[in-house]
Amino acid sequence: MSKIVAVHSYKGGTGKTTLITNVAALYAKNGFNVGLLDFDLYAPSLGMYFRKKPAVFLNNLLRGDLDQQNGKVDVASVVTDVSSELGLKGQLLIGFASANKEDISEIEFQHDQKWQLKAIKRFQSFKNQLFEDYDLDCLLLDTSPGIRYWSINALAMANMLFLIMKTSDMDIEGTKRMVNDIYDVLMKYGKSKHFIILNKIPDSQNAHGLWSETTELAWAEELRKDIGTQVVGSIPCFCDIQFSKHEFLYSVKNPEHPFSKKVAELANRMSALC
Amino acid sequence: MNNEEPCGKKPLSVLEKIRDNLERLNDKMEVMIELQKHSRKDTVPPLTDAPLDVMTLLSMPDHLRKTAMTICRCGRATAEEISQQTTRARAVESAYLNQLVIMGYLKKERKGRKAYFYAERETQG
Repeated sequence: MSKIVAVHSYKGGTGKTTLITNVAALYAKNGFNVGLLDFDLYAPSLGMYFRKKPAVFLNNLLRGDLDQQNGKVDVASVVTDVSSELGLKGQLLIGFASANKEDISEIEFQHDQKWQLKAIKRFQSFKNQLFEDYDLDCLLLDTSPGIRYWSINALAMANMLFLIMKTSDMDIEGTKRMVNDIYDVLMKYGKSKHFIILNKIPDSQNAHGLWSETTELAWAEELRKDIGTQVVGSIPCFCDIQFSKHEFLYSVKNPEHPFSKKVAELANRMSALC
Repeated sequence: MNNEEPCGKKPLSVLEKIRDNLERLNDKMEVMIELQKHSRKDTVPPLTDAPLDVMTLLSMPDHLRKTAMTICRCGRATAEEISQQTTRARAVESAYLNQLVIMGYLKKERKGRKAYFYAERETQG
């Protein structure tokens, strides 16, 4: 399995967090040690998703609050292991980002690029320690949509990139542009491959008038031609998931649901690629 | 027909001319850098210490990015050493490296006849 995987999208609301948390939990359920970090620093959501209020956030790490004299950072204080409460075989370590407006604006506006670069170095040190101290099999990064400073840094640090998108025109055009502007450049300089995951595919909206599995295959082919990136997974739109008040690790808790089966299939494909 | 150079030689002479122009351009850049070093701060805007991070690299044009990425990997190198990795001419790399110095992304240090280029440690992503 690839060491660092980032999920990204051009637009928000594509289902990055739902998919990546479910995939992370499935890996941990299967005995892997998994790290999951909320790199959506501008609109964090893992805290709300896991209903946790940690005392220490990734923001503290980036700010230097966790710096130690030996040049390392205090890793243990920033990650929360949720595996035992969820009954998972492997570890599932979550790094939360702060949703306080002061913390968000600090990352967004208050510092110059030199500060940001120091923060990147702290993160690099943190992730190396995380792999060493917790014997991680993989680290998953949930990023902010679009071309944001910390999303791009997360993409640059990852070995494998997954672009999650819906089938709307805006998503397709934006993703196409982002692949040309960002992904192709990252690939040129040594990053490994990037793939598309199609999410929330409406069952009947297809130019070919096809349905279900055939609809997904038709979309995958259409996007491969249009964007030039391989589609590795597609999840149909499930209204009960999308509009549920609090979707929480559905694929672990309800493995027989069609959504769960699709996510499990996706998780297998992702690990096979990595 | 007889006055024209043989087909194979014309591109060569054009390339030589380009190289000469690049060498001249490079010399002028060297002068500019020296002038900036010694000029008064209020006449020349400070361009030093611009950080070389992922976002900056992505925003660069391809030709400069290639040079910048190579220097990031090498740490400290001459134009000759960079050109060996990029497989572009030394004069071309020298011009790009000097451009990056003027833009404030790289530093330049002379040791004898050799000029070494590097990105400051604190500014490396």
